[in-house]
Amino acid sequence: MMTSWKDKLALTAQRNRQEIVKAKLDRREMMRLGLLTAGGTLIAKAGLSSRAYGQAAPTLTDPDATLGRVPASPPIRPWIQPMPRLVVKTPVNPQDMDHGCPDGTTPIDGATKRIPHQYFSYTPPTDGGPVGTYGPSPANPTYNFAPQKFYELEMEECYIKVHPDYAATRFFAFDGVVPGPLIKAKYGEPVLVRYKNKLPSVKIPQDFGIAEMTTHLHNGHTPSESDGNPVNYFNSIKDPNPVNPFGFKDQHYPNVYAGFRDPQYGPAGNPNEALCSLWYHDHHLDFTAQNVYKGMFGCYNLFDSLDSGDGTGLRLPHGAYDIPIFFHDALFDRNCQTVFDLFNLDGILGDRFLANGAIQPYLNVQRCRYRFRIYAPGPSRWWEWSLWDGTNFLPFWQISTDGNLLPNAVQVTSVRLAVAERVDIIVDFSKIKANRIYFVNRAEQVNGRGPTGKTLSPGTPVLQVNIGGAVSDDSADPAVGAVGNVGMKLRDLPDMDFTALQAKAAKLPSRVWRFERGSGGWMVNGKFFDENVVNASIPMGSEEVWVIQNPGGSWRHPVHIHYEEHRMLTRNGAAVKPATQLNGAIDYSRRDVINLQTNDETRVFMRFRDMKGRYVMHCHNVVHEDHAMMIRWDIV
Amino acid sequence: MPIRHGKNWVMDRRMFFVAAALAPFALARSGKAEQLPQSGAEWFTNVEVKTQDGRTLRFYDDVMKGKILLINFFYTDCDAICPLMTENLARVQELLGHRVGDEIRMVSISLQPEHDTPEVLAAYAETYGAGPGWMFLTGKKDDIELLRHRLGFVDIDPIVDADPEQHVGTVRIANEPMHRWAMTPALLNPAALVRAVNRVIPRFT
Repeated sequence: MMTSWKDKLALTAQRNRQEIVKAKLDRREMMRLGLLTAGGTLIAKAGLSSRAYGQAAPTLTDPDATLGRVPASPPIRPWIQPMPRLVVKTPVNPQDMDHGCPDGTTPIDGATKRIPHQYFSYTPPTDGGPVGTYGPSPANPTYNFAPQKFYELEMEECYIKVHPDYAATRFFAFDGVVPGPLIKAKYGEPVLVRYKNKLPSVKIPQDFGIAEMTTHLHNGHTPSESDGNPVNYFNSIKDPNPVNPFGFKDQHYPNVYAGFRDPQYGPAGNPNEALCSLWYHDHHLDFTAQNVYKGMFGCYNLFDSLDSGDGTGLRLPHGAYDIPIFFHDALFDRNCQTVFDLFNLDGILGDRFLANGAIQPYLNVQRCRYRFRIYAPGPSRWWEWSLWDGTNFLPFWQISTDGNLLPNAVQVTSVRLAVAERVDIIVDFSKIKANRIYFVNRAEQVNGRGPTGKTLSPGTPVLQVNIGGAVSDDSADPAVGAVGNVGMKLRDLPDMDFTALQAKAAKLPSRVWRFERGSGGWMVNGKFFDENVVNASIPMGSEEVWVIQNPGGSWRHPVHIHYEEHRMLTRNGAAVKPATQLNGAIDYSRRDVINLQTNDETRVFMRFRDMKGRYVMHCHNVVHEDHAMMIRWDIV
Repeated sequence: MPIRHGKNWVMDRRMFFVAAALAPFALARSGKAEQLPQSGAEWFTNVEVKTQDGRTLRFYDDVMKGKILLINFFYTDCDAICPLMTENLARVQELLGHRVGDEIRMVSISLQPEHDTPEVLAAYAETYGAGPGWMFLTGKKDDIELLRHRLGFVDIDPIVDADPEQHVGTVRIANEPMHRWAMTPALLNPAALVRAVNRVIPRFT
């Protein structure tokens, strides 16, 4: 029901915007009419311009933001729906898979050819039975990463109600849910996922997005042919081709620690390289932003004996107390359909904030410790999360950066995330007096190029948390034995002696990568991405220092390097410090995203181990990625 | 809706806006489903443009509609990136061969329309060996500015935006009937640019 004056005001603004579009009022005219400031901000009409997406920020006193400014998206009532929990995927038997069990091959290069998986082989049954055997591949017989768990994910068009006040919104999604299902995987238990493209034919026009997909497991230590390389998109079953008649792609995740070729660790790899909070998302060349915004992202968590998911090892909160949350933003039209500005190269912002696919939901918790895995799927939104009880920002424990456990838990009052970064936190609700708190986003951002740098207080409430009664809690308390802000021990870093690492790095060969704007697009080292140009050809087993630069301007770039984690050595000349946030993030850790601030220069230590093939590095403001801010590097 | 220009146009818009502000409940009553359309004549407009051979065309209906398009902005007096870019596009035209003109249209729009008359454009097109499927367009300054904004060749910083050289480095690639849009750098190597064109065209099997 849309009856309040606020709703009517919102509709009026929408109408104004529509009329301006119809009247073909251009920017100069709008400035002349006094609707635009010189800085490009729309005056009092936040909903009017594609450039002003996301300016209508809800506040605690005005949670749907209709009081202060007029949103472009239709109004909603916040906190009336529960936050959805992710659907946990169950494995299937390979012989029960659609179109037969995996045959050891996978399509690549736009499904124009098919190649064998590098790290497992398939032998068909000799007795005419339903399934053959999986074993080591002839090319790499030393390593047996034969899949033990098999999953099927269907890419499909679906309609989802993101809010009770909204009509259903059309998405492209994995298994018809946004975010896609959670795959819980274990180290030492290789997985094969069959991604089945059942989207509408690519010949059917879409508002935005393209129905060919390539899924990247961010940031898996994944063989190249299963990495979701931007050129490895494949067709829908509705567009069969001779190479891929049934429109699916098998992707192999060995779930092995990095370093498995190093005799020091043996074929299981180095446990200190463990990843925990991963996610998967589309990576189609030129179309990543459109497809991710259309719903193509989901969750993948990895466990081992330390981070066990069952209360053993480090005894982190597990099961119902381990909650991944994907925060993203979107803009909706009057029919509650997502709007993507195809003609905006800076980055796309929305004015509605979603947690696990629901606009401003609530979450009921018990008075004990929880682990939240915070994701930022973008396309272009930065976040700075705090917990707000109406008066204070409450302390909590940060335990990971980019889904990699820190050496120790660190007590903080906020965490800042660029697009694609992950942070795992532990919140001890038994130590919170309030009965209700909010996840508030405090990063001010007025355009898609990045946050302004200003931290808002209290910021935008996105998730309401209602705290119930006390329960017994068998998880470890990060505060036990804490010294200052440094809490319980978690996982050692692969190179614990940072001084030695710095000394080693000083002697290594280095490459410089400059992320810059030019020629109306986004470049690396003055060049735009060309998938056939190998920008760095690196012998397997090498170690290098990469110097990542943002030479200026008003933008920031979350730079993502596929395949291998990195260690940041210096930011702007200064060595990074343990257990210390800089710009709201901890740099002394393993990362797969370098959050490049304006004018930053960072030096990172990279290893290139284990597998050969093509990989990429790109800006994970995916609008920038699609406008060519990407390079290809190969391990040879 | 007819398009008008000059002072009256501005006045009309101003009056319209006041009227809209005074009628806050009109839309709620109309119940009409409206979207922010980034398609069709409504978005891309039918402003009049002139080709290098002097023909007058409506932009959406006659230039864009139903076509696979490569659209870029340039101006003949630009001596920095434009010559390289136009040369690069000429090589793309060669690679695409007869497809340019058949299924694909290349559209280069002048950012200095007052200088770049059809005659100037014709000479420029000839210099670069532009074939029949490659249009060089000029028109009224305000109309061209409108097209530039609609096609997203803009910068959020008005000072940067005022510099025409900022808008000449990229090519929009579109499959208009499919509503599929991508962008590539104009100086991308020609073979890669052709691959980008092919990606917006569904492969028929």
